[in-house]
Amino acid sequence: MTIHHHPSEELLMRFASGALEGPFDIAIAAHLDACVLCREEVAMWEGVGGAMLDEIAPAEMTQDAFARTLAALDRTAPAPRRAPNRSSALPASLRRYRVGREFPIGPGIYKRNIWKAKNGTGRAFLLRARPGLELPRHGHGGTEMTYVVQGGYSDEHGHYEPGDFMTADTDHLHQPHVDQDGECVLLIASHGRPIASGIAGLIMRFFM
Amino acid sequence: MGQAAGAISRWRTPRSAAGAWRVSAPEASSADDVHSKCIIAIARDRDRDGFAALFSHFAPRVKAYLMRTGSAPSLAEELAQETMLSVWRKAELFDPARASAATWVFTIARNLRIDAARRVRDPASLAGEIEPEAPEEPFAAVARRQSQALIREALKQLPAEQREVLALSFFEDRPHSEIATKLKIPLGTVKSRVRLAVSKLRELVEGRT
Ligand SMILES: [Zn+2]
Repeated sequence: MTIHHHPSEELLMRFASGALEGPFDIAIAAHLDACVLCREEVAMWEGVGGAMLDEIAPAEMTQDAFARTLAALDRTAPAPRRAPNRSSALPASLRRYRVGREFPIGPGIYKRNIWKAKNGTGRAFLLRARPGLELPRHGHGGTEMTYVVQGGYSDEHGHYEPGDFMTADTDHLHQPHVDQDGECVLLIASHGRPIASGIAGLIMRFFM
Repeated sequence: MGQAAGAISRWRTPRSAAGAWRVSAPEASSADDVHSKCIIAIARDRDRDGFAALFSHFAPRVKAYLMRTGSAPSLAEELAQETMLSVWRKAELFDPARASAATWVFTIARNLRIDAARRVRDPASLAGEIEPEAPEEPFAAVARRQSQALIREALKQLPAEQREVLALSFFEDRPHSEIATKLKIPLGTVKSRVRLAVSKLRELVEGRT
């Protein structure tokens, strides 16, 4: 797999520091499953985090902190649960999420929810689209990150294949077009709603 | 992010020329090596002295780290204890070839912090602890072990003012505007210091010019 599109260096840094908002770390983690270059980049930042942790001025722990932790050591650890989704077709990083059932949201296009913030502003989901499908031209009322799990698609800006990762911002309009030679599965993480026009746009707005 | 192969070959410094990616007993040349040995002793013998040493070094630092990223002291305390409990329970998964002790502890604390934040937003989404993933291939591990030492060195070589903004923006997640106010310097200066720090760090760690 040759990956042509990666998360920005800033996104990788923020991923490593744990600062990424809501659903975005889900999309980045999926890309990291596939991309050794970005894994190395994140490892560098984690090394920076470790070195900084070693040198930070320590805070004071409560008096019984150590005794309480020692007591907890003797309690049996909860047995690791089996991953809730073991599908080998999905990125390994998704195994810890309860990925929902697939349901249609339009002709030739299906959705599975991965994660949704309680206040509704952030969500991560999978889209499966039939070969050749053209999505309505849309922009984003926020930021949207897309990771290609399977198949491929194009838009005005390029062609994307498995492992590729894209970030689209508010003013970025695009019209994705699924390759003719197979289905396309995308992992999408978004903050804010996609804005589209027409009936298909209404469908998108309603369901995504 | 290109240049990976070149960067990796440069990471093979003489310090670990033996080429053994699974370092079984490195001589205790630094505090971090001592901490690595403690984690290995926990994995092997459930060694409580080793755990006590790790606790007294890392628990107060993890708490300090979490407070600096905005956690309330009580949550920071709870997560620091939880981090140490994870160190005890997951010691078998620690591979000194892949990460230094401090880096490993940092990633555990960071993940607990992310999950705590996510639990607040959506309690139902996470399945919790799942079976550990398979370890990575040794090739990546070689590069990683060497880079740990290089990263420490590189951070020491950064000018103090660049180190400071890097700590605030990366380690403490503070927005550039907040850093500017805190340090009483213009926003543009913050941005350029961060940029300089990152490129210097990259250059030192990856040998990129
Ligand atoms: Zn990448």
